[in-house]
Amino acid sequence: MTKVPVNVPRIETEDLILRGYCELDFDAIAAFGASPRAAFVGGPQTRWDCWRAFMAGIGHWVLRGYGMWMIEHRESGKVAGRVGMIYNDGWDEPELGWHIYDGFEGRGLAYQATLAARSYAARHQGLDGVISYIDADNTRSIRLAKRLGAWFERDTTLLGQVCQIWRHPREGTP
Amino acid sequence: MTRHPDATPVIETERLTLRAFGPEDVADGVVFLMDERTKFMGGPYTRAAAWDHCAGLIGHWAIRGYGLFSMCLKGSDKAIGDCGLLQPGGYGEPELGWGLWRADLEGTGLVHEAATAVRAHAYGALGWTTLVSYVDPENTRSIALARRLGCRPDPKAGLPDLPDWEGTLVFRHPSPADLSGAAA
Repeated sequence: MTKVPVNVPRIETEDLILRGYCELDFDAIAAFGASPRAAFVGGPQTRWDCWRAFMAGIGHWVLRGYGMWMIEHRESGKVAGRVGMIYNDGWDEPELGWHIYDGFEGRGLAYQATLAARSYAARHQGLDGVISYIDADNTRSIRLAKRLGAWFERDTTLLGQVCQIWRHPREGTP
Repeated sequence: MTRHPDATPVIETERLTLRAFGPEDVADGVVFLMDERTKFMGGPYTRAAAWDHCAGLIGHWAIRGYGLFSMCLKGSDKAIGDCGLLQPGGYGEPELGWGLWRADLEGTGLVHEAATAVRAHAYGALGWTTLVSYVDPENTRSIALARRLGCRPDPKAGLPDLPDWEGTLVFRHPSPADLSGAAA
């Protein structure tokens, strides 16, 4: 049978590979979705909701021409999270989002992944000076946003939840 | 970047062209999913959830290699409904599902025509040997269609392990052998 080609570009960094999706990724996505770690990204979610989000994440690439990558940790071969540009219906503008899975935090990997994704989006997807939606209580993500050079822009509401918009510098802006 | 699910099959019936659900169907699909008529299939959806669902239908084609077809009246590329093969995570086996987006086309036999063709595609091109359809017990129109398609209730078949699925009816389609026997 024929599969729909979803051409997700592959990006390699020192420790990571950003790549497209395969069915084997789903268990890691569902484990993250069910965990307290997903509290700041609409979770915890049932396995069914995770599946729907997984499918939608693939379709997003077809509909928008960009989306979230799976982050694969090169050394272990494990899936370390997801990162990339998300522009769901009704959002203010495309955002740089990241989900970092259990065991891959605090090692600079999230910074490496978000930097690579942001740079790719600016250079190849026409998305520069983008935003990130961040929950005000998500101190780790706010710390990462600051490290990425982003700044607090304003409070907003996303899908009925109060959150913050952080603005990233344009590529090439010191 | 591919923006349309190409390399997917196209099925022609007497009155319909069935092609993969794609980006061109999202606007109309969202309208349908927000309508009360989707109450037996998880709806009505909010606009945001409907858009996600449509994106997910495209993702399903990518991951499974099969999925939901848009039903277009011959000579038009505008979808009037959907019919296809679905196996989300949590399903024990693939399902033949359908949804008629246009209420004014109920009673025309178009969904029967589509479902018959999709089933033939599953048994023919895909080589499958069985299919189920899950139907809400209050969805009398779909129950009638399942019976017209020759389906029988299959209480022994397990339900997908999903929230709020208790009470859903499982209809088992005739097998390829049953169908060729019926034709003989």
